[in-house]
Amino acid sequence: MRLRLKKGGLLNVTGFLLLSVFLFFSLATSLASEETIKDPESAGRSVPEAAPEKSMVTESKSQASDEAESQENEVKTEKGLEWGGYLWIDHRAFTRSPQHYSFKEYRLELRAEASTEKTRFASTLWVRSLGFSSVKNSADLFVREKIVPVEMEIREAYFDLYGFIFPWLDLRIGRQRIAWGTADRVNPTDNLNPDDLEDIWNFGRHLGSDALKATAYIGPMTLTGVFIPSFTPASPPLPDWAEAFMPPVEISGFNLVNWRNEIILPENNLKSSAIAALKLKTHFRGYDFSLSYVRGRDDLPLLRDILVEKVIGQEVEVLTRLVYPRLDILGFDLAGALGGVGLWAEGAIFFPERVVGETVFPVPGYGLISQPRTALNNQAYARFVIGADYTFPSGIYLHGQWAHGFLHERGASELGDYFFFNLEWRLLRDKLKLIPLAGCIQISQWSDLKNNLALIFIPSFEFHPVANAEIAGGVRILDGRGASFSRIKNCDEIFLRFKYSF
Amino acid sequence: MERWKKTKKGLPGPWGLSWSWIFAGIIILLLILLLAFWAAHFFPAQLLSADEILKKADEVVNAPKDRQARIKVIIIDSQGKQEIREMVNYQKGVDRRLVKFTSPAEHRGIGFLSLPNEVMYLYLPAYGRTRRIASHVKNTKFAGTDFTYEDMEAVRYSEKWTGQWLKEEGGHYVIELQPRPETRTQYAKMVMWVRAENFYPARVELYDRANRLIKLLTLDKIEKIGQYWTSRQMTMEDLKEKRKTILELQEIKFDVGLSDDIFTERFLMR
Repeated sequence: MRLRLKKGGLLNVTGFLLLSVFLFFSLATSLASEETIKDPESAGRSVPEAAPEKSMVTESKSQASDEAESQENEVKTEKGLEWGGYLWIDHRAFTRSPQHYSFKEYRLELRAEASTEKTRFASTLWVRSLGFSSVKNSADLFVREKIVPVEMEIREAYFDLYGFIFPWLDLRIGRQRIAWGTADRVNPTDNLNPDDLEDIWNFGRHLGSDALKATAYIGPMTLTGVFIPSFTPASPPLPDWAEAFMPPVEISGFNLVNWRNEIILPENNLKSSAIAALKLKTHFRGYDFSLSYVRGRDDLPLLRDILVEKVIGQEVEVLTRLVYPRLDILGFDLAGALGGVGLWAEGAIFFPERVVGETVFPVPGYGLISQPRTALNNQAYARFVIGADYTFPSGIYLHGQWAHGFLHERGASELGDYFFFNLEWRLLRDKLKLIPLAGCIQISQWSDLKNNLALIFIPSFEFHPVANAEIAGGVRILDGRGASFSRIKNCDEIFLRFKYSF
Repeated sequence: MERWKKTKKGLPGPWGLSWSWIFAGIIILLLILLLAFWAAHFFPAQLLSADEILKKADEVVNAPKDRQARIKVIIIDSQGKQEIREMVNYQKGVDRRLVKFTSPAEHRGIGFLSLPNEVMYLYLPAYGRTRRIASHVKNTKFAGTDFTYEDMEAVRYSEKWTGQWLKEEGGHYVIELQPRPETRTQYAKMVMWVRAENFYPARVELYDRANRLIKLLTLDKIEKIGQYWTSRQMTMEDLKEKRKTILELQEIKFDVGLSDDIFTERFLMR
């Protein structure tokens, strides 16, 4: 056992060193090529046969420009530092008495970007105030954070190297969002970045990952390789909404009076933490196809152990341990059109590792009794999405998706069916967007529809009074029985949102 | 000598004709030819069919191998309020086009790629990926302008439409265009004014399926830049909603040798 651990450790160190050498070599080569471009004279001396790399635009063949003849006919991709962003104000309140506020967010997104012909730097920073004052006593009044909660987050910060070593190879290094899949927001193949479920209604949002992404463009094919050295768990929904994704812990015959939990993260090394993925994309007969493989980890925690710590009559105190199991995911997606109707399909087969935990229970006179419990079977299961959209000549846009399995569901028997629908009507030259029909029907068990159904209905509007400004509002109505979203059926809310881009 | 004697009215010519008849014949022939050239110059349409005029218009409009331009988009509503957007446009041949918005801030970075066989991609920076869009969007307005995605497509009219001669008016040939059976379009017909001088289209009336004139495209500031005729200003007027969109082409460059790599998802996402 010791030997194996040492061996693994050695492998990790070797792997890490190899990766470092590769990165160093890559950067050095890239910088050298940058130097070549910057100083053609010296480049000519040191590497006489080095021809300038093929530019996106070749030499002008005909001087038919309205610009001065002396101007070079090139696509100027070099940009100094540019910045922009938006201010986002989002207020929500429950509609049911006592109509508490349910959510408040002031978000300032700052984006910065700079690029040359062969490189690009981009970053996205969030500075925001999420939630409400949490002052509970006079001492809290002296804690600024409790009066006005403010946080800062680097959502993305990366740089690109275009035509890295080979003209057909691009490299992106740094914190980045790697969005895979052709479906709309429910993407079974989008498993590289951790889910950001903080705002449950913005599902499909992900956190950035510190990653290395290499993309090779070979003829009609695009091959993407991703390496994420360390694991980051998903951000869970806020407490009011968490029940939709996390069923309450129950111990039959007892009342749970105190529940503690312990999250066990994967070991912080290459072998346990790293995520690697490969994707091949191409097009055939008017359709885009892709195949992907991810060696990753479930970013939502799985309940592994239940340790009953104290039993007083019918009341128990429990400690639970949660883990993030390994997953291998084989994905497929396609997008195209049929008779003017946009079509897409996306699916993934998940191969989870088997997770066996324990249930520990104190039995008077016998001490602690431990029983093994299978937290997760290593049985493969598939989640998929099929969707279509169409815009009518009147400007009405119709969009529908059927998803088998949602992002929090695990195992073939747990997967529900979700029917998403969206009808949009753009008016006043796109200044006003009415969305009278939008939402989802969740069916968790077809054999007993009545008791396994949830309905989410979200009529809303978006109004753009002037350029860069947006006002949006609507209601979220939830109902149902048995299905996971029916657990939050008392959370109907109204929302009002403002956004200003700059 | 014998032939000289035989002709009393003048010198004897070949085939027994007098030289004066031969000269008269040559002069008449030259006059006919001159008349034909004159007619061809001033009334070429009478020599060209509507389809041929359409083909010539295609040749003139699509003559450059590629084009790169910065476009200022001015949207004017029925009350005269203006909204300004800016974008860069790359075009190669007739069926490859890439457009990227540079302003205003809420649209900055949005890109649109149009490839042959109605393959279109939209890039929304907020989502970090390209999205394949189906041809149903063709009849929807492009980014809030009065141009639809179909209007923005670079096409050869003669491949999708058939022409029918209507009239000649003020130095323009006026032809009616009907969609070919295989053409998918939002318009039932178009009426096009083509400049007689250079075959550049100057005005296009667009009719809906109920045969109502719904939009009017005017091409102004038609200039010869280098060796190519081009319109520096295009105005699309929505006659029903009484608003218009003006596209002002700035910094136009032709035949810069745009690489095929520009017309890819790879470049769209940059």
